Amino acid sequence: MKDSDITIKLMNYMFMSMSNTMNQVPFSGQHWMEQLVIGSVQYFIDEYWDDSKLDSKKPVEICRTYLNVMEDVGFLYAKDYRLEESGDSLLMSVKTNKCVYRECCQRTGEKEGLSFKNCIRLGTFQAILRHVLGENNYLTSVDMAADGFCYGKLRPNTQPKEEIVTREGHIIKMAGHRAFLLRQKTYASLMASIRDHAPQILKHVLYDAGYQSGLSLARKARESYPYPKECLQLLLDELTNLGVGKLELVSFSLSCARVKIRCYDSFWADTANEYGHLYRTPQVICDMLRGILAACLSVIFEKEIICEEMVCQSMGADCCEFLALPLPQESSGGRKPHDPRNE
Amino acid sequence: MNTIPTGINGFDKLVYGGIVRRNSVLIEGVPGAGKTTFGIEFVYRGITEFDEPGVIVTCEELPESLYRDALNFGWDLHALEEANKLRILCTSPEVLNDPEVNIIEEVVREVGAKRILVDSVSHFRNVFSDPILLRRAVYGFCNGLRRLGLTSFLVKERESDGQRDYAFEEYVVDAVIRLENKETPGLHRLRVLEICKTRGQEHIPGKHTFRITNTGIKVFAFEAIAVNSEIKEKDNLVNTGVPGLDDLLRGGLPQGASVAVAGGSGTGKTVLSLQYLIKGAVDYGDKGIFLSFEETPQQLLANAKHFNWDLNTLQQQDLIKVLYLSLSEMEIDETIIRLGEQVKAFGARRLVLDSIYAFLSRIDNIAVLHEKIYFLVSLLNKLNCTTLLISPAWEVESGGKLEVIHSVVQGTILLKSMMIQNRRVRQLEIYKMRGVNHAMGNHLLEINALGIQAFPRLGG
Amino acid sequence: MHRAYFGVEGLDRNLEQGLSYGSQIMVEGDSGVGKTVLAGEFIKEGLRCGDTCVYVACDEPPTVMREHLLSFKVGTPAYEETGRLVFIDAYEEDGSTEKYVLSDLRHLEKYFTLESEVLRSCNGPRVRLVVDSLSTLLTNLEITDVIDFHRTRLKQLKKTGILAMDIFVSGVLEPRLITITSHLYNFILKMSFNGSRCNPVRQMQIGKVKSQQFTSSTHAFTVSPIYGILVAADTGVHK
Repeated sequence: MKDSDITIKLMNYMFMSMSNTMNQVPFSGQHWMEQLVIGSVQYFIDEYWDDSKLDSKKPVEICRTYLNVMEDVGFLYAKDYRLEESGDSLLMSVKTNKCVYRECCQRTGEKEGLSFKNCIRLGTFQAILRHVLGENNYLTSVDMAADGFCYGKLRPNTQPKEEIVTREGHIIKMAGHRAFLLRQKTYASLMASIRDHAPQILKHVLYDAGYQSGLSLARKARESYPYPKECLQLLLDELTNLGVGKLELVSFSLSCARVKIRCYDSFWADTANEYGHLYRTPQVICDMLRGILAACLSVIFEKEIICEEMVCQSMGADCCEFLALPLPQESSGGRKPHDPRNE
Repeated sequence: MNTIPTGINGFDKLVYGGIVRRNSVLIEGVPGAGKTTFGIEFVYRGITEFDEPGVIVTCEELPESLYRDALNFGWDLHALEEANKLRILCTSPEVLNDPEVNIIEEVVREVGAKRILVDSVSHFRNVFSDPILLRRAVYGFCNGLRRLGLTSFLVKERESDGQRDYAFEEYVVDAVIRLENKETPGLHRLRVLEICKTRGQEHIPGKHTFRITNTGIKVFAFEAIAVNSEIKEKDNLVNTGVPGLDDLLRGGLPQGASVAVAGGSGTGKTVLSLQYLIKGAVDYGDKGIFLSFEETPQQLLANAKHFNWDLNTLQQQDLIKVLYLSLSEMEIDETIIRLGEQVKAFGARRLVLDSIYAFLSRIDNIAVLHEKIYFLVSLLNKLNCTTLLISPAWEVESGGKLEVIHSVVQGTILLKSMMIQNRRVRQLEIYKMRGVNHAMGNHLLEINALGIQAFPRLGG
Repeated sequence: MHRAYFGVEGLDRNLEQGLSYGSQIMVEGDSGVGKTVLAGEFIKEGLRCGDTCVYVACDEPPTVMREHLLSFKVGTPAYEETGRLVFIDAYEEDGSTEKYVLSDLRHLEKYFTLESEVLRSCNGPRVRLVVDSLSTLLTNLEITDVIDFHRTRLKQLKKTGILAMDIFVSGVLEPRLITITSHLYNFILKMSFNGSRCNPVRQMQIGKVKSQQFTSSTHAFTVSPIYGILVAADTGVHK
């Protein structure tokens, strides 16, 4: 097949359009993009695949066989792709300009804000692996390297995806749990109501609620991402996806357990600016996010971390800034904040 | 006015550049005062530095001892004679006064002399017993020299150190320089020079110290200094580097001021002064000099080390210079002049003098002490070098000497140590600071690991 | 114009316009009534508002206040690291490991110098200062010295726009001194135990608010380990 083949071009256009659209979908567009690829591959499998051709059910063999099938129909050359096993994971490399999907990847990659994280080729492997091996899910990651090669990785995922919002009839679920959508205005009136009736508990309610939700979020992430920094980055991305604001990791020290995080357009700061401040004087207001981050970091560092909001966008700053440090060792008196290990 | 420099180190400053050409200068003094050396140097410098050949007339010494003594200063008179720049006449007063034998005129013509030393005219007394005749003879002799175009130094013995008797010579000659070898308090002998008269020109009055060094005479001349401290800009304040003290001073010490830091032993004078120099160097880049007559540099270094001040490095970086003069070796005028030269050469902005007691112990005469201190303070003021003069405790009985010091300096800081509620407490008082509206009263002073710190008393 | 509050709802409610920076607050109260808790609230509120807070610990080591703040979920390390929270140890003297230590309680000028130095080094726009308790520093000193100290210090604090809270433990100082001293403050809060001996009730009373209308009512309050000082609702317990 030639690259100039109009069908290839059209196929790339379609994927580009899908990718653009999926970036506008709240929560995880990435997940839906994967679903689209897997769905289209399924049609190919139904027509061309024959399980009996497989010599073994090793993932690497399944993928090789799949490539051969694709070569047989004249879509690609199987030898362009190098596949190897690395523990439970599969490593794939291909010269970027040999890949039929490169136009889609390169052009979406150029557009700012739309980072194309899905490798369609890896998506097709996900599809065939799922077809042959059943429910077994794989996570994909890819890097379009400067040496002209794409390096991809497929690794098994035991966790269900967390950020997905689904609707079954009138029931909306988030990561499999029931949810409902709340407008900012409603949230603001809820908070104002708490303040009016029990002003002394407001900060505590927000912090504790944040801490609890942060704990469950972080524990799940921790299982799939054992490396602290990677795990934190994933959590920040996930929280950004959830709409708390755009979270950015400013500095990270593993040895000191010291982390600085910025949040642009924090939901709480925006609520204060939009529907009025909760307190008499301008002050930091994102106690819930502070709680979430403290919980996340306590799980990641496996010790008690306390997080302070040093500057808040509701006070006129460009963003909110959080500084997290471990609790002092000598701390003994007073009521301790939640210990993540006891939950 | 046509004057000629003598070429004697420091002397020409006293006569504003030189003595009037063709004048006769009488040098008088007790034996051993340095008269002959003074005269020979006049002639020698004339030949070697100003190309003015000279003649030495001696009625006393044998030429050999003259040559030998001159050679001790590195002056090779033989060579000058061979070069036809110098003639040495060994003769008697009788010959000199014989109008028929004009021996001087001959030798003067031979070398084209411009300068002459006559050693000594005292011998004229031996020839003329009648004072009128003597006076006429000397007068005629001097006129003769003047006619020959000679600038002359005439040496005259002085029999005693006693009552000053105005001898006839002093009326006849144009200028009189008196040399003395004085006893001072503290068993010290001091060479002193005084210009008693100069006809037709100004000179700096008073007694000036001089020293006979191995290269000749060095006069420590106190030049007149135009004092301009009163019209200094108020803004030029020097930070003391002592926390709290600058607040008490409303910013710092007036630049160029000399301030006495007075207190008994153990009140923190040396620490305060060291800190003043060290913080000045480290925090403000000011160069400083510590002139010590008491503690040796090693002691000071060790003292500074207590506070983690690296005096050694600061010396290597050329920011601080520690000078040490043992009390027995120092001469006051010399010290002051040399100090001025050092301050200028080093570019010192700060100076500590430890201690002014060295001056007190040497000078009994209050007027003289006043003059010396005044000169020192004016000199440092002119050099814009802000100075701390460490001084004995205010209460010490000094016969009015301390009062003299405190009246001359621009400021006085008193350091005290007293018992309050059974605890010894250091205190600081700014007793005076000219032109500064400083805080009054006693303030807590503390020496800790970081140095010395004042705590301004609350409530004013 | 920035206004400051204590961060204690029932108390702030009585301060419609809040306090201006440069005001001095005198808190006088019985031992154990909750003055330090109030100080903690005041500091917490300050930190939240972006102020730099200086706490002078005279009666206990600074760590006690650190732990107290931590129990209210204020992470002191972050604020100390960024210079927003500064402790002066006026308790331990020689053995202290704090950055700022008052090594000698006998000379008020030393305290004043240290306090001024610390306040000068605060680079935030607004500064709160709490001295807990100032009465400890003033014991056993000449009354004239103490008054001189007060005048100079409070004048300076006013000039530099510091919001200061000085805590006085009841009964430590002579009543005459307290009377003279109280004239120098903008805001006076008295905290005391009342009620019967077996059923003591904590009460606070605003004694003075300079240049503001105020009701000198007495409020009962409790000290909660979670929420800090809780002032009883507006009903106000009148004597």
